[in-house]
Amino acid sequence: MAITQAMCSSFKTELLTGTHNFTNSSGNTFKLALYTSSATINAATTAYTSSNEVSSSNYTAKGGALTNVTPSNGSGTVAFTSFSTLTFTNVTLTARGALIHNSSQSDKAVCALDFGGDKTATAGNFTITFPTNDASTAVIRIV
Amino acid sequence: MFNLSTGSIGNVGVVTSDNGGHTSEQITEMCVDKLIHVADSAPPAIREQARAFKNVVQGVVHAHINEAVKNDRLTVKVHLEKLGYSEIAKHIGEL
Repeated sequence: MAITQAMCSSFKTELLTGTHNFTNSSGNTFKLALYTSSATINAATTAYTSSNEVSSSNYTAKGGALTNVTPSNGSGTVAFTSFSTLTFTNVTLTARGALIHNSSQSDKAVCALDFGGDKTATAGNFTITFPTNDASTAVIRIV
Repeated sequence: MFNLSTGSIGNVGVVTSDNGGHTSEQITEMCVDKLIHVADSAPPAIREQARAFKNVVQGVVHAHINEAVKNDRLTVKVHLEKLGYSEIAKHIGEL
């Protein structure tokens, strides 16, 4: 059992079938679910799973809704997109990773994220910050 | 024919707090990281200059976030006093 950071393979196929729309406001609703270190999420994950998802008061199953940033290629050859910072407020939980999934499309998986270690909030905030949204660092890049 | 060579995933950051919300230092760092990204691959001279600039911005943002917190607490304190909750208002003022 492990969390391995990766873009989900099924997501790559679904890009070619027009399943996902990351456009701000008018696009799909993406969510970020948190998982303990006992979870198995990786490139082979195809959809959200409740197995080993964290639980806490003020944390809802399937996680928090993300705010999309409309994809761009910045006039270059790499297409990229990101999300606004997401905060789970007043929670008590420990998470090792996360799964971004498309809530508008049967919770199909987008990518698995590895935090690099257990992260804990106790009666506090658990905030996910996304890297600079550009061709070399954005959270989701099509190279 | 085109080649969609690969998809890449960037590293997210995680910031947590215990027994309350984030500190102004944490908020400042999250804010400045959004404003300024210094690539490790940048030429050394430019990288150092950019990092120095980032430190200056960090100081300015931190000071203003602290001011915002103080002002907001004062607004809440005065509001509670007006409603007759002077004891709670006192506690808010002492935070």
